[in-house]
Amino acid sequence: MTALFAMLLSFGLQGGGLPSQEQTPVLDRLPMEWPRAEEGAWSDWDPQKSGPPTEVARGPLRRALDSVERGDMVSALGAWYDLLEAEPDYPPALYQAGVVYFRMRRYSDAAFAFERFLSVAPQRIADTRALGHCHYSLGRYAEAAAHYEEVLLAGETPGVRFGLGLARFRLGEESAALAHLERVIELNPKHQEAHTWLAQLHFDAGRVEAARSLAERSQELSPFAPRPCFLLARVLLELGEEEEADKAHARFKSLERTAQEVRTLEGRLLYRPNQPSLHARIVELHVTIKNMAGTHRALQRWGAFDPDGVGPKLAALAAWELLKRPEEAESAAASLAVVAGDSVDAWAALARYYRVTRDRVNQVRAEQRWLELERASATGSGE
Amino acid sequence: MISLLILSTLAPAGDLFVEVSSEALLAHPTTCGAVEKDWILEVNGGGLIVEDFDGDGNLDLVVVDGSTLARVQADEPGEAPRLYLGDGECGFALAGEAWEMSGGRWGMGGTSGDLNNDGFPDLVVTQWGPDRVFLNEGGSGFKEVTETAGLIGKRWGTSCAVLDADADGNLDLVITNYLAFDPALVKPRGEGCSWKGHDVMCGPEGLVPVHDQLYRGLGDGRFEDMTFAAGFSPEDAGYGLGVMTLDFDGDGWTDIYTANDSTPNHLWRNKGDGSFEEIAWRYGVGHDANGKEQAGMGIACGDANGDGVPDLFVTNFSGENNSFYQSRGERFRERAHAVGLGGASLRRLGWGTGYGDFDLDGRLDLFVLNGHVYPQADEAGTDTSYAQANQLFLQSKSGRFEEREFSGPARTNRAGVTADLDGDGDLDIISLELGGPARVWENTTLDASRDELAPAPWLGVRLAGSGAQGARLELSYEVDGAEVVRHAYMRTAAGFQASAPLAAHLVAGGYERGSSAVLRVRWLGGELSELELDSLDRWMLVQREAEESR
Repeated sequence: MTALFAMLLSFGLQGGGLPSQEQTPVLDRLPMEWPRAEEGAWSDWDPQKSGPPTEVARGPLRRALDSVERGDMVSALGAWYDLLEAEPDYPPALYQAGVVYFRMRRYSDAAFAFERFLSVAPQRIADTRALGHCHYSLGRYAEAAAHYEEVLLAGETPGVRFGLGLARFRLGEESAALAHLERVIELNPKHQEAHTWLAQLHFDAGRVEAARSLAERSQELSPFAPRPCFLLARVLLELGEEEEADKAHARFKSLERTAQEVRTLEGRLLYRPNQPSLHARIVELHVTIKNMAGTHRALQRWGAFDPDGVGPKLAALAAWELLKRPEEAESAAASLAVVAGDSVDAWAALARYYRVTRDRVNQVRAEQRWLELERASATGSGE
Repeated sequence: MISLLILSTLAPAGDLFVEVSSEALLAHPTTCGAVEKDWILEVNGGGLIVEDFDGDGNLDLVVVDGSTLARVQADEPGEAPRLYLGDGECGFALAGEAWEMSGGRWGMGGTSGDLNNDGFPDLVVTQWGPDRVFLNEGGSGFKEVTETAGLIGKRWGTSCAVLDADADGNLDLVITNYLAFDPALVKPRGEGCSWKGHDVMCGPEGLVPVHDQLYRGLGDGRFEDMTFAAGFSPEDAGYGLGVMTLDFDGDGWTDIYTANDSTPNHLWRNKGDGSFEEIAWRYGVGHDANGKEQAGMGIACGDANGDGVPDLFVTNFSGENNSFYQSRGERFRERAHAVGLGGASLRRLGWGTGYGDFDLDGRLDLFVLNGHVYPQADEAGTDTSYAQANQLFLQSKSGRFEEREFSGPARTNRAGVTADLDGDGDLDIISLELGGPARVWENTTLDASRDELAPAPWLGVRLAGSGAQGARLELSYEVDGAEVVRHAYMRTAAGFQASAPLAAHLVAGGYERGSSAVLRVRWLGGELSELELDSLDRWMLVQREAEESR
């Protein structure tokens, strides 16, 4: 761990200046509680034409959207519950509650929400690919495939075709799966997961060379995904290329270790997003393996939750410097300077950054501020 | 609290299994900590060991029982392991005083085998604490010899199995260890560990996994530790829960497979020179098909696809599919979904499992015992439940497994073992409930009233003599002029904290009653016995010839 990230983690462990967040009772509730609207109440609903909900529903709607924006799924869920109690079966709320449940990996509850959405807005079936994902995640592959087929009738997208391909694969219908996954790549030649699953399919069928080229392409498309490396290692072993297989396996182990920790931490953040130390650790993990896109996503998620906080901006500066991305680092420094306030850590980091980048004006300003704060701190502790 | 029991919506298999548990078993539920399950120590349950201990020809049952933290902290012994003598009709009665064993620290699993070569099966019991050895005194009682047995350490042993790793005629011992558990150092539930938003007990992640152990048997009930000398020490230790013995590469040496919780499973190849090497990832049995390590619990091993090479089945955590590692030439492919075993397990947490041709159609089937580790699984949003129904998967002609209803209500089950308890030719099952009793499930396939099932002829084989553990069996016969060969492997390992009788059950699909068949026994060490059979549908004992003449 770098010194900077050690400091960030310790910053995070102190709470990051945000109030502690307790588990809310909404997690103990179930969507079966939602009241039903009168029959046909939403039959004319059209998202393009229908206006905002009633006045009483606007508050929860605003809270829900703000919470989703901040990545605070628990608060968002509470707001969707409030909205559905104020405005029973309001279709966007049903849909969004389904999305939140899906992201929280509560697949039965998500499926309930999407099915209720479909019952009040059957014309919107094209929006309900995620219902297929719910069935799939619960191991109900036949139901998943049937739903994807219905969604497909409403319009073809790589996503729904991919879902259908996977469901067929799970049902043991390998030639159907092959056709669907190949179609995904026709629709989107950069669909990394379709390449991986096609590679798996060929590998299982003993077509090892085909598996190899697909796994390699998948790796090119997503260099930090562990799974293509794992598959490639197994393919190379079958081909007798032991040394290359060992290298691919070593790469897999390194990526998987990181991915596993990220998954665990992200799982915790889903329920308690106000944990700066976890956000900082995720950023650090991505930086360690030089995963730019992952770093960017992690910083964005933290920043969305705490837009005016010093923590995410301090982490951004550290991350982009370590990754030697001067433009992003400069932007992070500018953002940090705006929110730095009385943070000794922030001004120390800025002073050091401006010194390294030879920005003398800002260096002097940052050093002065840092010194002032340190003196004040020393005086304070002296008293 | 909202109960979300997973209710089975499957067609019943004509009640293939019927519960026939004796009052003696039901009257004595096992203990494994408190019902709240605040500690990881409290969730594995006890063990089951099935063998004919008193030599009367009927299978008996040892139930390994646990304890509570309060007892341990008060320096009081846990519940004693108990022997129940079988009546040969699926009934069990508590054995008399001569068979009584004292309570240890906290019993987990165990195994049986003739450790001192006197012709009677002995007993090893794993514990959170020192593992224990009991010698069978000529079929008249157990005598504990733990002090002199040479088992070392006070780890948290879960499963164990006997094998003859060096083919010297003396049984060796492998013990899987879980993790370093010290209640003073491990956080209890409510102190920061959560699952799906609910406070749960902590572990295994974040706790220290402990190496498994391998012992060389000296043939007199004593052992020598050979863990490190044999290279039985992986780069990274796993949280060991299940163990299986097998000969996956057919080289005549007994290999070992361990199921590890939240860490990759291990396949240990016996190199035949006294050492082992860990090769799980190279052979495709360490992870799921996506390269993710799973929470391995129980293991079943059998030739499910009839190619003469064993296939492995591993039970895992809820949200993960159980794994079916199908043999493909030299290596394995994880094919749970392709054969219908994947989706059916996603909402279950599997433990004890085993292969057996339960409907006697010539194809191996599977049973899976389920139950969650978190009582909080009954709270909102978990997509699973604490008590869960057990599962029976019958293999169809296409090689896919069809899920059928397994009798009985949802419970939190753990260890399980299959054996022909009533000697009628179909395989029965014993299950053990966490904090509950052992239960007996009689297979009714061969009941006179079940003519609609048209069961195929079967052959039960028991072996006596050295080289029996790890022996390979082939039953060959002709169907329409073509030779058909059924394979079996002699082992007592039964996956998770359980041990089966040293016996094989072969089903001769397509065999015409009255025609000839040949049974070949390849004893461990290579010696071959060949027997001409003029009938099946019976249990037979095969004694190693060289020893018979001795």
